Amino acid sequence: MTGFWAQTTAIVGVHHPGLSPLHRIGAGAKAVGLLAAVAVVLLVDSPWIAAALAGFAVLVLVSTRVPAAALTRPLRAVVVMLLVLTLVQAWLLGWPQAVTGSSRVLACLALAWAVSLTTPLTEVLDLISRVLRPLARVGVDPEQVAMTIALAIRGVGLVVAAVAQADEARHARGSRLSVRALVVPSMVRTIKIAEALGEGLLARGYGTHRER
Amino acid sequence: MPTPAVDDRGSAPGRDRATRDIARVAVFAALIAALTLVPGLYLFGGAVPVTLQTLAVTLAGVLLGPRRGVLAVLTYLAMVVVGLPVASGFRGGLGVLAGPTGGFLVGFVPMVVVVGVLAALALRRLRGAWLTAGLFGAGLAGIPALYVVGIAWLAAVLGVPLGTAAAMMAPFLVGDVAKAAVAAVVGSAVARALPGVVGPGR
Repeated sequence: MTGFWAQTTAIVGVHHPGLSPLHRIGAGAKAVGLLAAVAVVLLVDSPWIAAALAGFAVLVLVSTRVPAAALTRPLRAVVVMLLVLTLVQAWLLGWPQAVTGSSRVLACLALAWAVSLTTPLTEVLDLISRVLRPLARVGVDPEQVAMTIALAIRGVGLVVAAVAQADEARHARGSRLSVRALVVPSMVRTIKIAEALGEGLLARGYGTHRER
Repeated sequence: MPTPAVDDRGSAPGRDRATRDIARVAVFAALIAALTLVPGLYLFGGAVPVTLQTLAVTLAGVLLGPRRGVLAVLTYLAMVVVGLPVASGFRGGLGVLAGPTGGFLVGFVPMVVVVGVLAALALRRLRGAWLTAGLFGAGLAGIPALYVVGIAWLAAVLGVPLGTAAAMMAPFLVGDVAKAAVAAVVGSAVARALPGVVGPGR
């Protein structure tokens, strides 16, 4: 695989192991706390309170003691976005509104990042199965949902490899700028991966143990 | 998820189809993630990346139909929420949904339903160039479904009027129309390349 595609396959969760207070709270409690905090932040109208809340949210993020290096890539995008947002809002609505709006966004993002950084993927998948359990009555199978998400995570690398192969084939044929020469073979390969995955699951007896 | 009107998942063929559906839904969720991460064009100094993400969502609607298309989008959104860096610019976690452009992720749900329903109709009734035109129409119809949610969300988070939020999104419209055209050409080509695989109920 060429370098252009290789960085895309390097998918790992954003979770960072650690011993901070947030790391020790359960995934469910953190999710509820995050929802409540976001609701409060969106209700605040005063620029001073909004800025204070944003500052507090950043402190919560810092308290996770996640190394700054893990945050540089997302932070760069967020900082640029916040600058653009603040300027656009200041121009359209005035500075007090701009401070309120940008502080809200910063507070929500920082808190959500703090939760994602301190919660391992397996705990989140467990939480999803637990949250979905009441929906079993209306035909949602929580185990099946967790299985689908796990397969999709595995599938990202497979699909990227399929697109990369189609891209190499396109280069080899010399049709450099045709989107069609890239996307059609990519889709055919992708569908074939899905078929093969389905056959693989059936061959291993997936689904036969379930009583429905 | 709504249960199908006729629930035959207890029988062996129904169960096999449910298992194959899981595989397709998972792989198309992975496709949305993969096409999101492929570097695209960057607007506003890198703050807003234009990716092939909406192309992947439209293709999910065209090639999977509305039901499995929605499941693929929901699976992708679940991947974002659980903290995998599969949103644009390698972002991940709930912060992406809470941010100003979160509505453009949630809006994929109505978008894929609209595209899926209309594309299923086109795949059943049309052939050749008419099929491509029909799929293009289906892709175009998905755009307002996405923008309504995305623009309302943007206006609410930023506290700007709806009209202003809509104006901020105008540059993306060109790209999304182009992506609907690509999805139509690809959809009809794949329907020809893999007959019996593409389309609803297969």
